[in-house]
Amino acid sequence: MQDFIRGQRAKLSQLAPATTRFTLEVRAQSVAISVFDFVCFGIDANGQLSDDRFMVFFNQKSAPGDAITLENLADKNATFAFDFDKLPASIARLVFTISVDGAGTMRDLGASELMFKADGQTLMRYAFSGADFDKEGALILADIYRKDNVWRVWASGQGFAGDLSALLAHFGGEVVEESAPAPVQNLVSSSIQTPPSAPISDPAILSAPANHTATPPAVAAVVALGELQKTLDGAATGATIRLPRGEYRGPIRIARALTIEGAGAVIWAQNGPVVAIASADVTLRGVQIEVTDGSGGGENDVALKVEGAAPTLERVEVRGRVVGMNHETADDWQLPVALDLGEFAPRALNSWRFAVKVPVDCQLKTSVSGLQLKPAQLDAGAHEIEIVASGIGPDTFLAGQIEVQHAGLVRPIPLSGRTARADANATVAQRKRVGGA
Amino acid sequence: MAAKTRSATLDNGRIIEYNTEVIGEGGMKTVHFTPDKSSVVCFFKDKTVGTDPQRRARLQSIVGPFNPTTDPEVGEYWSELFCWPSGVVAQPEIGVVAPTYPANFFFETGNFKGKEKQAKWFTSPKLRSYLPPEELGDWLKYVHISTRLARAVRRMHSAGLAHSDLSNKNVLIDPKTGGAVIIDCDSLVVPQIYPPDVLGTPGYIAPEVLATQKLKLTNPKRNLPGIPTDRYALAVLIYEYLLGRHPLRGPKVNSTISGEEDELLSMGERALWIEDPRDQSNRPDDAFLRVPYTKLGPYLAPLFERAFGEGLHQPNARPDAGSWEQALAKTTDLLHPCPNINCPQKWFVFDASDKSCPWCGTQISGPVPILNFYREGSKGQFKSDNHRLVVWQHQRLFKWHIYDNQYAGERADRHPQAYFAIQNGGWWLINQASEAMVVVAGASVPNKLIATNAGEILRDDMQIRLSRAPNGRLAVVQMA
Repeated sequence: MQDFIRGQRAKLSQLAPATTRFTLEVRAQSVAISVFDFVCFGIDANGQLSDDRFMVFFNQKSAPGDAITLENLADKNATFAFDFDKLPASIARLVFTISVDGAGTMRDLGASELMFKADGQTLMRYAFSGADFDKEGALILADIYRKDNVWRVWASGQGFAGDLSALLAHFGGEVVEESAPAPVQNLVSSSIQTPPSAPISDPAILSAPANHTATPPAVAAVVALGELQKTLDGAATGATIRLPRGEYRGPIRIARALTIEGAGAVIWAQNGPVVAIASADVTLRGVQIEVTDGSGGGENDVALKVEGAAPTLERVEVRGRVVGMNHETADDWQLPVALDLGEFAPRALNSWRFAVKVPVDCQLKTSVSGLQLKPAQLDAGAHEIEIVASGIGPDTFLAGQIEVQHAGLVRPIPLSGRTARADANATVAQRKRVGGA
Repeated sequence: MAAKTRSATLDNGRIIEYNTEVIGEGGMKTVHFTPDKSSVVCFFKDKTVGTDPQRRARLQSIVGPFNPTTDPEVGEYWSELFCWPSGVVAQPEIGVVAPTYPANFFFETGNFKGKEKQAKWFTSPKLRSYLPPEELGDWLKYVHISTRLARAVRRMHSAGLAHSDLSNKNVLIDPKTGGAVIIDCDSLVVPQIYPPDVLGTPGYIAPEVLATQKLKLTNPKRNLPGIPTDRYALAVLIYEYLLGRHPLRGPKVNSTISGEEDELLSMGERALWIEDPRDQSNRPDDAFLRVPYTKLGPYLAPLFERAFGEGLHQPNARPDAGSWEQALAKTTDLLHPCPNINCPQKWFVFDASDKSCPWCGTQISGPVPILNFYREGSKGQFKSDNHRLVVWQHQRLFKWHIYDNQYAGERADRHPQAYFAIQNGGWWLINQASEAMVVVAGASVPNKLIATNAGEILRDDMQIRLSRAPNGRLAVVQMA
């Protein structure tokens, strides 16, 4: 047996009897390091692991044809057996490595050894310890390589900064970057005939862990078709029904004395009348009544219909016609369906005009700050209203409404517009006419 | 044969069993399973931990008042992002109890079955080639991983805690699911209680720490790990997850004396970002930088410039974890699936100016709707929120898009409020929220309502009030 020192080399023929079968045994000692990884890399003449099957380690304990096998694997020692006769010609070198699995570095190694054997006899021994190393996480302990058709052994004892992955990267060599597949064109079809369907799989969102359930905030209550009517029908005469903020599907018919209070609740139906009042002593407070379609004529566009005595209304916003109340016939009201102010100059004084006709005295208000309405008080009759905008910054969208208020009813005129971007050269004030009476 | 067990007493008097077999041993601790393997019991090798009142107080603070996983509302969420110690062991010796890592953070198949999923396996092109394809995940998952890590670090930092050793070893990732978990939370730096034990892990140690590591611990010029150095490590990890390369490892040689000295200078005193626009001396070739950081979009690119430009050597200039979390969450909204089924990454940050996937070059054909979000400042006036949503088939809209006071964080409501779908070349928005949306401008009918379960075809410049409730946003449609 020969004791090798770090870096020493020899021809196998000088050490071994005429055999092609050998074992290489590594015994490591360490208190700080509890588990080591042992690997034999069978690499090609270019120093690359060109065939992954020749990486023999804890999860692949043999190479093809049992040319290399890993036997007696434990946390701190391992034995590899190999047979040159079974190795393909493409394998030019066997590299035996040890690496730290977990914390610690090779400085923490105790008295350790590598033994190269044939037929049960130790041919060579290489002793190594932490004194030889520092912060390395992996070592190449020995190389058995073919040069000039002669197999040689080298107690390389070469340190590596990383761990098993660093070794793998080293022998993986310059693995070609994942090649970019050829571009594909025109995959978004524009001729899909089916209606838009709801997503069937979970969306690719910033997802929460699977078992995390979030409770939706109690912002909105959704009441299905008929539910609100059932609530009304089941209420005692004179009762107050409080609707939390949310949307309530109508139509509904109120046939007894009741108060409905909604903190911004919306009662809606595709076609009207959305709310029909057929009883005296009905109060509506703080609700919005909306027709969402309203086409088809007749009363389809009616939001509120009063069939008997006038109800008490406090801030009831209607989107659609009101019928059955004094002064509330459709033809007497001529309001623009919506006002689009278009794009206008930021920070400048801008003004627009539109026409209205109202059958009663009304008050005009706007929900958009930075806008003024002139006049804001209207007598019954036709009027030209001026909207004045001042001091609105660039790249600002306006979205709100002008409210025509009378006797507790609010008729909204939706309003939109935008200021030009800061870099746009548009500082001239505008005066123009919008909407249609 | 049943494993041998022993009893340990926690400092609150509770007694738990643990197996005597040591399943792991690091520089600082030995680790044992509890019999049901749901937790591990770790004993410190340094027994002075138990006798030093400051270090004991630190452990008690980490387990007690600083523990995010005991939050009654979102503790469950945090326990998926941290392996946070749940108890301090008093007897037979000082230690901690911590939950076992979830099973999805170990390789299930392939050559590395049973090994922990440390990020390095996934971020190096060389190592990726050794992993089973099903483990690799797509790019969207790396954005999710980055977001979760940034969120977890933000949570720690907001409590004043620093991890002090954030690295690809102490963050396990699962690209299959987009999961990330911070481990080894028992060495956190607790303010005012105890200085850090560790310097960090090479590659993730902030330059100022490396540059002063030879000074004595008591020297005031010595920089120790803390929140600013965590911010550096966080930026490195996110850069690695998203781009698969280290931000400082370039061709520049800073010392020819030894590799060790070159590494010390290149990661420390002379650290230089490989994509630094002002100094290209460490810039690899164009093939290596095939996808530059600028392809990560308008929210992430400026943060990388701050983190690795000015912030590389000025710790106070580094973006905080909350900025990363927000930028990542907003970048998620810019992602578009690549139509090329062979694309290695499958998702990319959509750029309206070229509409192509940077990973494989595939062009998106046909219009892509983008919703630009505006928030209500003064009443009725909507200002840009610098947040937009790129639309693709079955993309969804959530409350954090609809309301300007909701945020896609740990408390987010994750019930979809609307979805998008294409039909006959037209892109539809289908409202699934409990309230109507209003098309303020751009619809066929003025001020058209989109009721629950109704839809509208998106058009260029269309303005949609996503909710009329307070804090409801306005979306302005752009057809790119």
